Amino acid sequence: MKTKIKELRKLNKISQDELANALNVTRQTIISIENEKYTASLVLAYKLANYFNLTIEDVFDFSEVEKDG
Amino acid sequence: MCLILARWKKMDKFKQKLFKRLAVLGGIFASILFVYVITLIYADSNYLSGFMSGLLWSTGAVFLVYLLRYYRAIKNPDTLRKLQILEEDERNLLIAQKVQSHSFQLFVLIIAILAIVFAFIDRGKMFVLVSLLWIACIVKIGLYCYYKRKL
Repeated sequence: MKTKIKELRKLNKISQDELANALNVTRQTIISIENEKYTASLVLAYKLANYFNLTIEDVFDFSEVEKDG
Repeated sequence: MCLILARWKKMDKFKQKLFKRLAVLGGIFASILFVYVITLIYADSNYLSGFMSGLLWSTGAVFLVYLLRYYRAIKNPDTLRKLQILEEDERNLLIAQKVQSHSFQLFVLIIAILAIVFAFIDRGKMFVLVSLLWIACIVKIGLYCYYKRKL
């Protein structure tokens, strides 16, 4: 799933390590989400959105899910 | 403040979990040591004492590795947090689940192939392998029914 995490991270000048530490996940998980290899769980998606003070829809791109129905 | 307290509580819970794990591992090691001593004293069979000796050394090595790993984590809060993140990370949990599920499927497939091969070589071994397949199927159906009710 496409995400805006990389852009948001760069915008807020946060490293992958800092973000991973704040969300209690490994850096590899952040890398995988950014590279669209892994889809975050609902809880992690909520935590990510909450961290950037945004909604889940702002962080994750659901257009492909909507197309599938 | 509330977040820090919650995190501290979570870490403390994880620390307790590590103590419990060490206690279980220690218990297993102690019981194997006990059986080993009993076999050394009473058993005449070299095979049995050799088997128990191998079991003791391998469990001892596993126990030592975990003891060192957990001791370092218990003593150092940073290491504890790193270990907690590593164990509770959702991607790592998913990988572990997938590995377990695939290895079970592969195990069943290998047993099935071996059962077919042994049907031509040794009927006795073939029956043992077919029994293993049945047990694997029963375990899988049992777990499926359990999780269908639970989730």
